[in-house]
Amino acid sequence: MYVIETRRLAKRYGTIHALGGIDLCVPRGSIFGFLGPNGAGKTTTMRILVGLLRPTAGRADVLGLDAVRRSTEIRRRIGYLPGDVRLYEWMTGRQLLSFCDAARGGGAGNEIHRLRERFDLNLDRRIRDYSRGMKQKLGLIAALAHRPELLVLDEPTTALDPLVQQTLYDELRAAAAEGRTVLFSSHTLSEVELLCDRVAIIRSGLLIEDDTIERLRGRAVRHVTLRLRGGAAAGLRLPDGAATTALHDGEISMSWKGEIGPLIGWLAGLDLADVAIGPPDLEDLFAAYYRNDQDDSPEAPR
Amino acid sequence: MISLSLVRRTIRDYLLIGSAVFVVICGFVVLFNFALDAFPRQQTQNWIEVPWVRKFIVALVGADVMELTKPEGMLSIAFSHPLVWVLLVSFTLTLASGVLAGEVDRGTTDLLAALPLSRPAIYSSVSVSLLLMGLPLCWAVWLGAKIGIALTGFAEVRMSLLAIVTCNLCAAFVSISGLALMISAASSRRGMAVALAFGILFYSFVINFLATLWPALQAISFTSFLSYYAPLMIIREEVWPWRHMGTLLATGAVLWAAGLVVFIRRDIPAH
Repeated sequence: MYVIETRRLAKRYGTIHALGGIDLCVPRGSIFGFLGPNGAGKTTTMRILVGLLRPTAGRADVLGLDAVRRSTEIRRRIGYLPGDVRLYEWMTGRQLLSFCDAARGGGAGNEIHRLRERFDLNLDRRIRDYSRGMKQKLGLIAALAHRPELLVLDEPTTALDPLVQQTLYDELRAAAAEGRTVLFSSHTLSEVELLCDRVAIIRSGLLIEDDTIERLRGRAVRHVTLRLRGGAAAGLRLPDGAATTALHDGEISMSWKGEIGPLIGWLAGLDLADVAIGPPDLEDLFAAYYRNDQDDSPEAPR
Repeated sequence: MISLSLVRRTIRDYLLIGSAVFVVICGFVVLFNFALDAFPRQQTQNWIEVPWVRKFIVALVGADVMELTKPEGMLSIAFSHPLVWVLLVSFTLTLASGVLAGEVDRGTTDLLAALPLSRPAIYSSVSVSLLLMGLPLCWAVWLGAKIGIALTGFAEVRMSLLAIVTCNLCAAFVSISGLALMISAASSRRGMAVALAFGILFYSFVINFLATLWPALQAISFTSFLSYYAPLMIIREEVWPWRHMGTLLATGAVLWAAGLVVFIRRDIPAH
């Protein structure tokens, strides 16, 4: 069962194709990372899902409901945090949350209190006196307070310090553990890797990757450094999937792409003085996608 | 269809400025009563019988001063006074542009968009807030006249006649509100919305003013909403201006509905 399902979803602004027809499926109970370079179409997709933008073509269903025609009903059941949080500056944090709670029919008082404690936010100050990070916390509390079935968060960790980021991760993990779903966009690949079950990458308005983190890791490059006894590294023949990146003072630095088994097997046949195998490096994989966007290459790295 | 929390929030946000405008309008009309009471009427009568002076005053106050023989007629000038109009129009544009185009401009629409409020509910709530705050401002003129008369004993005035004028003013306010809401609903920049609405209202005032002095413009004077606001006609004929009020209310309703359609269908861009 998908909580979000888009079919050939497209959005055009005049002659600019912000979305070129994407098919996105977000499973229930997952933490779904949505990645892509600036201007790739992440925010446009999210704004269509919450009913702020109307698609030019295609369809988006959220919680089984049409995102255009039944957006009010959808918003009753989702929490949304925009990429650039703007709040009523003249209100206090408490007034803002009361306003949001009243608009939702009330009943979120206890959860607001709990989240306020968790995020350590003073709700009695005017929002105009809040720092950017405090505004972000307030926006997050407003999005989380009614315990929505689906959270749509556009770069939620922006301006948050590492401790608060950790609190947010815990909250999102707890939400997913309860069967609720999280869709969030981010530029911080480490947090996507840390948090997400599944990732979609969008580039130039097209979805170029949609897979689980585990399977992406299987495709990611590992960095391997090895030293042979006797130092005869120069004539070493590398197996398929390996590429030498540096040879220095008898030490070989290489990258390995593919399953770990063949690498271990190959290493076992060597007279090793030392070896270090790094974890699968998603940064490299994602960076390749991003670079291709800048190069305008039609091929995504696989 | 209407979000009471949004109505409450909007009224709370604009209560201070609305109250200030109410007090200023009311106070101005009270002072206007004092000024009328101290008026050297015979000397003035000599002046206004001069044709060009009479015509110019007609253009300025939108009324033939020769009809100002009734005390209600004198008081009706307050209902057409530029200060009253400036305050009323400014308040209308401030509120209408502040909560639709202004929200998009400031990026706070995203906050509303996160709430289960439909766009018709947002638009209707803003409209109701505007009416709840604007209509009392129209009645502030009537209240000022009543207080002024009580304080000065200016003359025996039939307040019921001035109440009809106030209803005509309310209809004009509804028309202006419809225009302001429609423009605001279609705009993403508050300044642009205010400028456009102000431009149309300015055109309306200018056409109405010039058509009095320049007969050639009378052919298009029907495009000015002020053509349907006639305090002195009400005082003179002592009738309800049903046709004028109907025109103003219908125009306001059409503009309001157009704004609703635009607001429902439009994109809310990211800030």
